[in-house]
Amino acid sequence: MTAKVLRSCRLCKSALRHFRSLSGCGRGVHTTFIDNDAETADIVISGGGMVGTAMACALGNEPHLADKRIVLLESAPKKEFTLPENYSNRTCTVSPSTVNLLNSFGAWDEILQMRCQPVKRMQVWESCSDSLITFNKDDMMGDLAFVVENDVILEATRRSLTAMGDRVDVMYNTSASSYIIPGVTAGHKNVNQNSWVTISTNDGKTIKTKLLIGADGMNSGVRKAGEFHTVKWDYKQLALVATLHVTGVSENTVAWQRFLPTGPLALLPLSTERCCMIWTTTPENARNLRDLPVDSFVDAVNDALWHERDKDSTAMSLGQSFQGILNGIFSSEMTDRQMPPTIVDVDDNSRAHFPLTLVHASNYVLQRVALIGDSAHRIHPLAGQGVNLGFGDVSCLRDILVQSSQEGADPGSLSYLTQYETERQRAVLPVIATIEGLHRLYSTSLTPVVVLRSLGLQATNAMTFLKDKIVGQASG
Amino acid sequence: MGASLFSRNTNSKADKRNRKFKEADRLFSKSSVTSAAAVSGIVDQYEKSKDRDLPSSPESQNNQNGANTPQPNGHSENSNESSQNHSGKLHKAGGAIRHKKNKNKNRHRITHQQSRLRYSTANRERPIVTDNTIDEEEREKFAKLAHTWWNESGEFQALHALNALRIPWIRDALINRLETPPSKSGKPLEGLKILDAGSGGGILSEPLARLGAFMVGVDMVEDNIKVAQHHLSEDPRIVSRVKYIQATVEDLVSTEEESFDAVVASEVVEHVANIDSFLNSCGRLVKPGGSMFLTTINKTNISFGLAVVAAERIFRLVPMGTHDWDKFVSPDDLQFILDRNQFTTRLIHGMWYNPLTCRWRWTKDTSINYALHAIKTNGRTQVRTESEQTDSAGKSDTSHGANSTVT
Repeated sequence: MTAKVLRSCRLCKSALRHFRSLSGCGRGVHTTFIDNDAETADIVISGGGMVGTAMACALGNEPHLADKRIVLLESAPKKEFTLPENYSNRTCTVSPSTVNLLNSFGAWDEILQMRCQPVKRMQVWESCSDSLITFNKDDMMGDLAFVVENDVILEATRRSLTAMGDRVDVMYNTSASSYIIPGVTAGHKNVNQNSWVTISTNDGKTIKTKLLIGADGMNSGVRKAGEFHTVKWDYKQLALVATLHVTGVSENTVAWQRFLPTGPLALLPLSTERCCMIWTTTPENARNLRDLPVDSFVDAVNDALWHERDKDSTAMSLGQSFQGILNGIFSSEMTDRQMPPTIVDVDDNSRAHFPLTLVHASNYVLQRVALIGDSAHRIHPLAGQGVNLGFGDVSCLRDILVQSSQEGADPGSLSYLTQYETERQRAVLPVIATIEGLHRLYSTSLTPVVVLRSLGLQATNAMTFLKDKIVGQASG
Repeated sequence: MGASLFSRNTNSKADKRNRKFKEADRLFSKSSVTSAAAVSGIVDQYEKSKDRDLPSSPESQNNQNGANTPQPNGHSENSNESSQNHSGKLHKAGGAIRHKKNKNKNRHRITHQQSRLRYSTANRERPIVTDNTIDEEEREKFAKLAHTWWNESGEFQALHALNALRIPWIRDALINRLETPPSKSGKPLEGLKILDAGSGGGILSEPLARLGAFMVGVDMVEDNIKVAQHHLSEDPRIVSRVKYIQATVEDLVSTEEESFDAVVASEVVEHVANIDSFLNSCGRLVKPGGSMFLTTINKTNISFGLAVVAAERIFRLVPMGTHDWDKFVSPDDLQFILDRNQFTTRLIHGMWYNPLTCRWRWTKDTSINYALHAIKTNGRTQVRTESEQTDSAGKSDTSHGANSTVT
């Protein structure tokens, strides 16, 4: 008995000695871990796309996370990027909050050095009536958003990552072949869920991590491994993209979207003479359009922007009288309807289509696992919000991880990750609901619906404060 | 263990140990009685009918410890129960969880049958595990126990949630006391040595170690120490900055006097039998100018209603007798005791737990939970005489709490 007490005291003393010899030792004491073959990390990001790389940058840039080992798994090889002369057909509409995030680790400057186009005004109208809505900042000078090619964003974030040196360990040519998530993976269900996540990579390495961040896109392997309940549906539509040559605009800083009964057609400015087209339509129509000769394709796009054959006479007349009333109430001058640009050509080989699906994980987190970007939520591109939601995930998760680190918590701690989930679902679900609503509202040419939606749109357009709110929401 | 050494503390220590064990027993209040053991009982019968040759585990007891006899009642409130008895329960419950795994342990088969017989007469809910199990089994058992302690949405959810309040509080209070502000490195407490009195599963020690502090966690309960050690071993980064010791704070005084920058006793004071001796020892361990952090439950009618009546008697969230209202202490009394031990109280603040959101927040109202930060004045404490006085005088610590009355 006595001996036991004495031993405790000795232990305490030896611990003190140990501490003295240790004080001043900073990062990485990877010694006594049970499995010596495995590498250990605090945070592993699986997937080096735009969102995954931005996550790595955001975490690597945080001084509060300086003692955490961060690993980014990127399946593609490391390659030099040279900005091609032709614009890519895959672009993003980047909101101001995303710009802030990219700015926080220097990637926005890289983008400005490459190329991007500001959007100062948006005009949305439809083919069944004359109603339209426009968005712009007060003075017509402020930027609503920026159109940036995906490749440019990815390259900019990679450059920022490289500039951080060894802060983030980027494993190129490496992808996870399997994950063991304690408490979930078969055979490990009974394992205490505080055990770390084990990742086996395609090159035979094993990495153990306290937190696995799934940034591996809509077919996320992390989401599958974590057995997240997922809601999925196919819109039975294809999005046709192309890089168009335009004339008839001076500055080309307007984003255009026209709702057709088959789906919306959007033109996003890329430069003074180039636009990126995203045309959501039926699969047959999309395939036909892709295979059309250049001339006929250009005609088809111009026709889709200008034609008046869907016009509904009831909606038109009602809309005109309603506009009169609105002008009386809000004393607004007639909305300055701008004419969309005229398409003159299309870049060779820039036409492509991809299927549209909605994917939404009912949960974004598990103990030691978090999903970000498309792996958690992939939405219809009609409002161009998909990537912004992904970058919103990045900022939110970074903040939560900084907080958990300041409070000494394990980065994989569920209490903190749940805060991330709650905050993000509050942001994502309304966007999904709005987009679903718009999608359904505009995919019909039924007169009563057309009347209601055009009156609604006109009313919204007349109420400046409401529009400002919408702009505020969309720019996050 | 070691109790004979400190004869003046014998009563209080045994009592305190009981408290701690009851605390630990709370671990299994739901899981073992209602779910785990009940389930295992069902599984048991099922297995038995299915395959007599493959009995699922409950390991026999080795009878070398008479105290391991199963109790007819899961958590009887006899305060004379020996501590081993309680630890026996712990083992049992650990076994109950393991039980579900349906491990074939042939070497225990015969004794297993015996124990089963006994169960039928006593309480068949709680299988028993021996003490002399092999290391692998031990490891597994403590992994399970650790899971109970460390499951953030489990029985200790409120304690985990409290970290979001108490860690920043302790961190900022300590940083404010530093002469040079820490670098923005994520280890603001680097170089500080902190004692976690009543460390339990290490829920408070690990986060503070992650912030750079060197932690010593003391707990009376061997199982708690093992659980904490097991969990700690999973995080190589802090393993060298945390030391868990099975001891009382009184045990440390002789060797570690005035060696800690801070002593934290979070949710411990209300379980301590002799609060004067406990705080005196804690106080002696703190360096002059160092800090003492306490969080506990106030002695008010509201706290009685919530912690004892509602939690124990109505909702049965915790076993009857987990909280002994007589042991609760009001902020004034706590401040008074600390004053006598050369501590100046800097802050007393109320804490409020919302069971729906499972979040704590600070509040001005100290009538239920509160936190107290005190700083040791520079003069050396004249210790022993004082402690002896309080020890004899404060045998029943109700003397200080008499101003608030029980109905």
